[in-house]
Amino acid sequence: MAPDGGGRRAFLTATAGAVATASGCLGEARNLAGRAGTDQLSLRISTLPASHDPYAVRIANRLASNLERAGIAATVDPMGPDVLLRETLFNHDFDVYVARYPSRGAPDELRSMLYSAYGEEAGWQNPFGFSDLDADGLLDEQRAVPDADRPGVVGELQRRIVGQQPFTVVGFPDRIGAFRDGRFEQWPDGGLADPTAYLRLDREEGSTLRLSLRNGRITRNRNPIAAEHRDRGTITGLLYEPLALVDGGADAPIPWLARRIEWDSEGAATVRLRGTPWHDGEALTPRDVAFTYRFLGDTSLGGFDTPVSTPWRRGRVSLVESVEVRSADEVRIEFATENRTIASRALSVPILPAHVWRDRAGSADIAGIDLVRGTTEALVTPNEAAVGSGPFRFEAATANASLSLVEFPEHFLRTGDTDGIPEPLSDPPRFDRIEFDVVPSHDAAVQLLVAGETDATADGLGASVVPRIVRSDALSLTIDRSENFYHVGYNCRRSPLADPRFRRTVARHIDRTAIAEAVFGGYATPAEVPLEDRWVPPELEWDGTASLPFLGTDGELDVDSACEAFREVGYRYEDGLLVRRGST
Amino acid sequence: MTFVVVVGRLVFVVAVAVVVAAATMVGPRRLAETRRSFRARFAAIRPYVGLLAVVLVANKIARDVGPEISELFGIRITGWLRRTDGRLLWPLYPENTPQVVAWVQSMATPELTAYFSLVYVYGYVFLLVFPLVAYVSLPRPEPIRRTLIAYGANYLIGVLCYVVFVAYGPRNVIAEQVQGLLFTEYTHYQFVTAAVNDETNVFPSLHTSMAVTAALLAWSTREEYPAWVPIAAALAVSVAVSTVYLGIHWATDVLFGVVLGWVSVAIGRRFEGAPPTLEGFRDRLGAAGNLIPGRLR
Repeated sequence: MAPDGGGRRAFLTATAGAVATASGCLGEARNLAGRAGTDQLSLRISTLPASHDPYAVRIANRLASNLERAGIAATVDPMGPDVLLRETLFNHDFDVYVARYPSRGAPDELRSMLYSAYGEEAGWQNPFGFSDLDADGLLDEQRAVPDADRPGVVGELQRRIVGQQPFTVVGFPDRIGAFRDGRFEQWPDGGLADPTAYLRLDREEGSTLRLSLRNGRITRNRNPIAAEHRDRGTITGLLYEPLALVDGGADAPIPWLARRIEWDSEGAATVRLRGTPWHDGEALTPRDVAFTYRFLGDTSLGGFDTPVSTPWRRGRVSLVESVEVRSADEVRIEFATENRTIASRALSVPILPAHVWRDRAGSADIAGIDLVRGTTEALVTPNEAAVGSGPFRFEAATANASLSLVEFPEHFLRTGDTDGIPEPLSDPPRFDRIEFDVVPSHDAAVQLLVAGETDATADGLGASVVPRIVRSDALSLTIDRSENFYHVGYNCRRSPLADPRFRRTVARHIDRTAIAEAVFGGYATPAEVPLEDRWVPPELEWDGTASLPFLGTDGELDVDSACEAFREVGYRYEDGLLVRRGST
Repeated sequence: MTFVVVVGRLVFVVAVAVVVAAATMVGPRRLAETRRSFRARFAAIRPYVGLLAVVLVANKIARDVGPEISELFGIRITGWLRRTDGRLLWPLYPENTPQVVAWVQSMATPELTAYFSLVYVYGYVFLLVFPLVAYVSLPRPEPIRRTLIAYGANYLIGVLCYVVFVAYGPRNVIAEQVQGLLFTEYTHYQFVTAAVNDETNVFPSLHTSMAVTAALLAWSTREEYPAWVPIAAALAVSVAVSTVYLGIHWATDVLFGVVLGWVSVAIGRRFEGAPPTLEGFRDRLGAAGNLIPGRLR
C-alpha cells in the first residue's frame, strides 16, 4: 500500500548493512532494519472532484477523516470521471474508490459486478477482484430459478454481499433535474434519465431542444461500449438502439429494432426486424444483430488468445448463447437462462453496424490503458462519427463544448413502422434537433436555464443548486428516486483489503444517516444493499442502523471503538497508528 | 450568449480603466511622444514581441493537449497540496490546524466576495494590461522588454507545471469546508474561466505569479511611474488573496506562484539587454557542462 515503504526499507536495510560491516554492532543494525519494517497503513481513496460529482468527494472526505482518526493514513485523490473509471475498471489501480454505480436496478447486474470469473476482465465486471464461491453460486442460481423464487435467492445474495463487503453501499441519491417552463412539456420526473424520456417530450414551441450537460465526455467520445466514457449510456442510446427496450420501468420488453419477438418452448427467441437503415444509408440486417452479439462477447472476433469482451453491458451479453440468422429479416437467439425476464435483458444491448465495427477487431496499442492484457481497437476508438440507427443522428461536436444531434428522417418512428410500441413512444420526436452545451458546473447549468439559453439539464444536478432553481419563477424542479447508488469499492486484490474482516471494519466508518443529511442535503435514501424495493430482504431494509453499524454516534466517530474494532480482527497499533509489518 | 456578454463586458471595463490610468499616470506628453516615435520603439522590441507570440501559441497548444497528456502521465499531487495547506497555519493554531482556505473563507462577507470576485476577473486583467501600455510609453526599451519576457516565462513555466502536476483546487476537494465562491455567487464568470483554463491547472497559481510579476515590474519603474507602485502592489496582493478566498487555489499554489513571479522577473531582467537565443542557451548548457570535472564526463 505505502508506495515508499519498500524503497525506504530497502535503503535502511542497505544502510544498516553498511553500518554493521563498519562498526560490527550487528544487533543494533538488525533492530534498526527490523523497526523500519512496520509502516503505518496508508490507503488512497480515488474519487471525483466536486465540480463533477458534489457528493462523492464529500463521502470520501468523511471516510478518509474517520480512517485517519482510526490511525490509517488515508488520502483522497480526486480525478476526472474518465480517469477514475480507467484507473479502477481497466487498470485496477486503486485501493478504495467512491463513486456512483450506473445501475438500472436489475438484480442480474450484480452478476457482472461480482462474478469471480470476471476478475481479470476490464470494465464494470468485477472491478473489485472479488471472489467468493458462495456468491458465485447465488449469482448463477438467480439466473436459473423461475421469477417466483428469485427474490429469495437475490435476498440471500445481498446478505452475502453485506457480509463480505466487496463494496459498501452508501445510499441512493435523488435524481434532481430542472427545466424551463413553456417550450416543452411532459418532462419526466427527475429529468431525462433514459433515451425514451426524450421521445416522450411534447413541444409547445421551437423545434430545437437545448440542453446543458455537465459531463462532456460525449463530446469527445461516442463509443457506446467504452465503459470509461459511459454511465447509463443515455445519449448514446439516442444514436444506438437495442432490439427491445427493457429499462425505464417497462413491465414487458417493448419491441424496438425488433418488430416482433416470439419465444419458443426451448426458451429461445425468434426476432423479426423492422427494417430500418443505418445513419449512413446501409440497411440494418440480421447479420448486424448476429455480429453485435458475437462482437460484444469477443471484440477481437477470435483474433486474440483470450476473448476481449465488452467492458459495458457485459452481463447482458453473457446471457446470449448463440445467434443464428434465419432469413433476410429474422434471427433466432438462444439464451443461457430459461428465465424469460432475465433473457430479455440481453435484447437491450445496442446493436452495432457490422460494416463499421468489423474493422475494429484488431489490436490497439494506445497509451492510457494497461496494454498487458491486450485491448482491441473497438474499446479505445472514440467513434466520433457514430453511425447508429437511432431517431437522432450525430451532426457535429466540439470537444468539451457542445454536441448537436439531428433527427434521422428514415427512422421507423418517422416512417410509421411502429407495431407493438405503445403511445406516446410510437409518435415521432417533437423536435428536429438536440443541442447539448457542456457547462463547467451545476451552478452554471442553472444560470443558463435562468437566462433562457437552455430548456433543461441533460444530466442530474446536485442538491446545492435546488434553492437557485426554486427561487426562479421560470424554472421547475423535478426530483425522482434513482436506481444509481453511491458506493465505496475496495480492491480485494490488495492486502489488507483482501481481508473481508478489514473491509467490514472500514464499512463501519461510514455513517449513512449523517451522510444523507450533511452530504446529500436530505436528497438521498441511505441503504446498505445495492437493490431496491421488492428485492431487499426485510432485515436489510434501512431502519436507521446498518447491520454493520457505524462506530460512533451522529456522524462522530468513536476513536477508541474504531481502533478496538481493527484490533479485534487482528490489526496492530503503535503510538495510535495502525501499522503493518513490512510492505505487502 | 452568456459567454460573449461576459467577455464583452470584461473587455469594455478593462479598456476604460486602462484609458483612465494611462491618461493620469502616463500623461498626455508621454502618450503623444509614443505616437510620434512608435515605429522606432516597436523596432526596439520586435524580437521580444515575436518571442511572446511564440510562447502564447505554444501555450495555447499546450493547454489544448496538455490536459490529455497530464491526465495520462501527470503526477497527481492534490493530496500533498491539501496536507501542506493544512499545516501552514500551525504557528497560529498548534491544535486543530485549519485549512488555510477554510480559515480565509470563515471571514467571508458578501462585500468581500464581491470585491475579490471583481479583482480576480477585472483587477487581474487590468494589472497585466496596463504595464504594457505604460512601458511602451517609456523612451527606454528595457521595461517593456523585461515585461514581455517575464510574462512569457510565467506562462511557459506555469503551463509546464500544469502538464507535469495534476491537482484539483480546494473547492473541488474539501468541498464541505470550502465554497467555490466565484462560481456559486458570480456564476457567469465561470464561462470565461472555463474557456481559458482547465480545472486541473492549479499548481502553481498563475494568477498570483503574473500579479507578483506586475508588482515587481512596477517597483523597477518606480522613478517613471511612482503612483503605479502602490496600486500594483495592492492589486497584486488582492489577486493573490482572491484566488484563496474564492476557493480556487491552495495557499501552497499561491506561495509557489510568488516564487514563479519572482523568478520570471529575474529572467526578464536577464534578457532585457538582448533577447534569448538558441545559441546563448547552447553556450550556457556547454558552460554548465564544463563545470563537471573532466573524468566524470
